[in-house]
Amino acid sequence: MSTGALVFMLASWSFVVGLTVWSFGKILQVQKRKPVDPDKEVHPTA
Amino acid sequence: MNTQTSTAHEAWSTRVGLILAMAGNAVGLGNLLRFPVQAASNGGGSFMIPYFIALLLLGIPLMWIEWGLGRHAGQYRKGHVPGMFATIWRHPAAKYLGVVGMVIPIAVLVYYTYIESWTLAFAWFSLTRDYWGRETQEAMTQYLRSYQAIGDDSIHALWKPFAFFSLTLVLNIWILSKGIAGGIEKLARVGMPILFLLAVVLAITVLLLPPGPGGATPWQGLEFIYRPDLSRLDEPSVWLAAAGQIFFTLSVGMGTLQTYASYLSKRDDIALSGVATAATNETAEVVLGGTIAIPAAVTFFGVAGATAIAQSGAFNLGFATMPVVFQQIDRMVPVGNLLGFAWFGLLFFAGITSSVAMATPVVAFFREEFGFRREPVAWSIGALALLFGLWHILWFEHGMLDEWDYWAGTFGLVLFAVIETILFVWVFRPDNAWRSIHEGADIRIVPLYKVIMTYVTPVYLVVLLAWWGVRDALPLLLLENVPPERVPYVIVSRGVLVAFAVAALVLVRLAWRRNGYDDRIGFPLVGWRESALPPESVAKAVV
Repeated sequence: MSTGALVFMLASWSFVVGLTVWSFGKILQVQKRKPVDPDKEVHPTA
Repeated sequence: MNTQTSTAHEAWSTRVGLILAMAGNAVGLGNLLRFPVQAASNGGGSFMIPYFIALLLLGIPLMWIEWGLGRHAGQYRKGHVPGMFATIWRHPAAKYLGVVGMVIPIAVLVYYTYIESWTLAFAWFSLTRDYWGRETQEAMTQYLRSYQAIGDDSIHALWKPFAFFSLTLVLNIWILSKGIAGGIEKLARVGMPILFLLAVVLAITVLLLPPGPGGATPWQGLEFIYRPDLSRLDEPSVWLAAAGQIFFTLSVGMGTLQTYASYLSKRDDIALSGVATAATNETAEVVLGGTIAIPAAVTFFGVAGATAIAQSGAFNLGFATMPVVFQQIDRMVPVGNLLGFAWFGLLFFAGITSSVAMATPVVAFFREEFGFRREPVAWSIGALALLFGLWHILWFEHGMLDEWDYWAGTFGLVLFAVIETILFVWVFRPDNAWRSIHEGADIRIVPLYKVIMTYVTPVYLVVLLAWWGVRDALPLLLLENVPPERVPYVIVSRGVLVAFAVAALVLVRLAWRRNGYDDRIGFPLVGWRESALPPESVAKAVV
């Protein structure tokens, strides 16, 4: 594989995987900070 | 004025379920077949520059716009696009513009489910080694054509595509009839991990392949996709191809993301969830989609052979080339049929997690406006899709699917996205749109994005629509380059789509009259749905 192709491939992969890890990491981080619903309400589902 | 709400209470049960369902809607056959072909034929690695720019300026803003539009309409219990448009633009025309968002998903559902049924059929044919012995591209293409009811019917009788299509449709409708949490979310929670697992297994298998008959390796396949040709960057067609790929891969402009988002409350985040959905889709596309079909084809057919295959279309790559590859692998390690089953199973899960979303806007319409129960509506849509799907099978060789795919699944999506962006950002006002997206948000979006959503994204979309309109839509509309013997079929195919649109317009009119809606006053505010996403759900689901 040429250096140019390798660079573009790794940069592309890093960007999408990085964005995925960041977003799910942030979701987990935010959820841990949020207090648990004190009422423990049961929400209606379908 | 009254609303039908008693039968329409639905909600997501977990945040991960919601994101997986949204991502499942986005991850489809295009991620695995269309992306590598587009990248390789539009400058290789340098294609990724306009691709990521389009993701940031078009894809992610559209995600927020669609989630925002859907969630905003949810407080009026409107999960269908005519109702959504009417919540932000108090004008009689709003509901009729929204008809585009009902016709597109139902039309795409019909032919997409038919293509999805090929994956189910070929998974079975792989497992049972039905095509074993057809070891050339030509032989497998003949096998595929026979299944598509074109040419030689001695390989596949006509009942096979009918049977697999009917089975696929029944599966879709059964899941749909179970509702948001009980059907679609459950499918996503099972289907998406299986999809990623199968994709990872196949990608690793492909990368470990030894050199093929001509000495080519899978790494040359990756080179084929990512080799940068920077000279292509000054070609407008490359930028538009990249924008088009981003547009289609995220399933925006379809009317489905909005319906999913309408089941959220103001307490629920949509800003971060929208990014997570787009990112999940991009990982499936760039990392996994780019590592399977093209590298495998290059290994066994060489770069020149793979180029010819890619140019002959994504279906040939997926349904003729890959079975040849699995037979070649089977000579080395006798697991070719299992790999074939995994490949078509992967495509099937990618397909079904998208197709179940397509009927949801119409189900929401009939439930909310006419008070019908979900099950009969779902099965009625299934009956309609069966009827028109059988027509597609019979007329596939006459170009009916191509015609619907262009007008509903390509041009229609961009047209719809232009309309919804103008309505949500400009008519609703940029400040309101921005505030709406930030209700319950877990992140603050960079303020620059307000400018991007207000100016850049609409301009990007209009340029895309104009480009395709002049280059493709106008010649197609005028039947240029259509063989004379095909013209009657093309006209009838378009006529059916027009009939769909007329029927939807009449139904919307009936619904508004029945419920006494006044377009100038708007809907009564029912209130946000109770959030069904308990705060601890993500941690539980991930752990």
